[in-house]
Amino acid sequence: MKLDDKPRASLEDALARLPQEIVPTHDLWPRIEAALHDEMSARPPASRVVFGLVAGCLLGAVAMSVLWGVRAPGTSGLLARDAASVMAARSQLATTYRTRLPLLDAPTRVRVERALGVIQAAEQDLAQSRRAAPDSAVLSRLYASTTRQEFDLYDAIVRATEPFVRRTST
Amino acid sequence: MDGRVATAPVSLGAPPDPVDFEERRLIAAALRGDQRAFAALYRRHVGAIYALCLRLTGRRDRAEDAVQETFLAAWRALRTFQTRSRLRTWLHRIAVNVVLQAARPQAARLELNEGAVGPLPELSTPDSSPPIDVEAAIALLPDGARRVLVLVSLYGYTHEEAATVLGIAVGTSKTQLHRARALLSVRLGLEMP
Amino acid sequence: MNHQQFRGLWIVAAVLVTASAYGAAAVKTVSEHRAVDAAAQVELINAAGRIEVQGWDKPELEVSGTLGAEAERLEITQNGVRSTVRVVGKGIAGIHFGWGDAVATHLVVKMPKGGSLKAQVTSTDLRIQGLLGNQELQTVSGDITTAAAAETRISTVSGDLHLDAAPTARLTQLSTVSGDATVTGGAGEFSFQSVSGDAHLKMGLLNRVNLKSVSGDLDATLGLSGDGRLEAETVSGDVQVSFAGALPPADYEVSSLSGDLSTCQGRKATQEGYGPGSRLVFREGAATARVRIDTKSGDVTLCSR
Repeated sequence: MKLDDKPRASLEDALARLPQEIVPTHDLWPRIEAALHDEMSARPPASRVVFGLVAGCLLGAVAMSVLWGVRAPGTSGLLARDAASVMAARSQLATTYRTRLPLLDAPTRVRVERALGVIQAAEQDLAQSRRAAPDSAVLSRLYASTTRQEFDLYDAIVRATEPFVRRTST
Repeated sequence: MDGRVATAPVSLGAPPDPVDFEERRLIAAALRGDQRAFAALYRRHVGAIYALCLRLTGRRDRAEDAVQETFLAAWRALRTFQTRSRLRTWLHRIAVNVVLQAARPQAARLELNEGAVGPLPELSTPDSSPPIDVEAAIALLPDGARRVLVLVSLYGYTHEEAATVLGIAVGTSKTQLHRARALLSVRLGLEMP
Repeated sequence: MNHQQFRGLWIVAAVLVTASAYGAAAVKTVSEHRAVDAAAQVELINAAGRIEVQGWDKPELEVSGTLGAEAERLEITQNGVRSTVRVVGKGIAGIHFGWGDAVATHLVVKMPKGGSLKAQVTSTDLRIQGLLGNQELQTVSGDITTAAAAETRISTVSGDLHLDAAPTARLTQLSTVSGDATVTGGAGEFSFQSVSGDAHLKMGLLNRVNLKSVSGDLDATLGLSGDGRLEAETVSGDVQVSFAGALPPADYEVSSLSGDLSTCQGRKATQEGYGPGSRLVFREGAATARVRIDTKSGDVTLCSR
């Protein structure tokens, strides 16, 4: 904005004319791409992640059945023997969870999303720690337990909103 | 803070199509690990995010670092993004957090932003009359005043939202904004607000 | 008064009558009675408001109170021993539940104290007393206050839980995302799972204890039976376990990757030989029970009082 021809222009006018976008003077993508590549290289192969997740789910299911002798709430499906169906069920549950979130009031939705963030940050933290200490049984247990918490969160929201998705009046 | 923008003129860019299918397609692809899709998302939003980071930090080098960190954080957390929201709003929130996190170790330093003078003449904007003076004047503001001005006056935050994000009292936010506007008006030779 | 003035007055009166009728319709009083079995299973379904449940000696179900502005009607259906009390909302299903305003539903439900209760509510505070049967309670953001006497399963997202469990409460399972839980009493099997909610437990003699949190703190004072099992794990939450009386005879294994481990008995943790963190492993007495506590970065304190 050329200011010299409007010396008495208001600050609001000046701010209003600021551009919405500013192009960086040089392309920042190569640096980002390189950092992404470094991160991806440091991750264990997807197959190991899947195996770890499924093994964790099954380990947790066995542990729960031994400890409790009953299925604990929020774990329906976890006792499935087929690892692929466990993963598919979890993926479907996560999708359903996302469609149900809008049914919650804003403060609760914020808390749920924040809690999911806590879980996922913990998962990443534990996954990173496991890379440094792959033989740690404690980390394996915590990782399996935390990934199961993510499943349980999705399950809790889906179940909690279930009665209000179906039409209740005839 | 939900990133809503009320009447700020700069805002977050022109409102996209309410159902931006192309963007959703890119997000879905990025979630599957497609970095080219994520690069496309980067190109869609880097201008807005860089503008935000530049104005918040007052320095090009810090802004560039913040943009890099923002998109890296977005890549890592993409699966938490709710597709009914606007991606730019989400990126905006991440960018604000990134800038403020990076600024924490510098909180004890002098408020005057000595590093900001000079580098802004290379700014390249779509506008035919680049507002160099205004941008440079914003960059010269003290950190606290500049951040409040950017969030409240440029991006439409309420004082409550800005206070929450910046970790200051609402009264402090108002004082800082008043200070920022007064300083800017003097520097730009404008009417005092 | 001329014709136009009279007409104007009539219009004003009509508006006033309509407005008052609307105001009255916004809050609807309900009072329903049903005969039920002494071991009735009562199911409550509601979206927003407050529900108080009281156990009584009559083989009757009584529902009274007021329905909020967003509620269309109260519906009670019976199928054998099961009675369902449902607050039917206005509009289409799947509407956004941002109801929590002053005109929310408030119901008082009286049911046979030997019956069982199942509640699926969204933003409803639940207060339950005088029930001896099983309870299965699920809420999203309402708080739950109840006294448990049999099997109790409670699931909440952000509501807080206050549970006073009788010695007859043989199974208690609590699950929360961000709500806190305060529990006293109880026996048998107990589990608590949370993402960021804290647990404050002052409990009786338990046989199976499973405490799990991501970032919430776990503070438990309890007894463990001779063949009991206690497992507690957090990612970053702190864990404090205090046993009533002497330390139970058990095998103890306490691990923390980066937090502090301490006991009131002055036992010292050792560094992990093969990886990060520290461990505290010891045997107490005949070691018929088992205690295992894992955390990544939380602090752990183990005491006996």
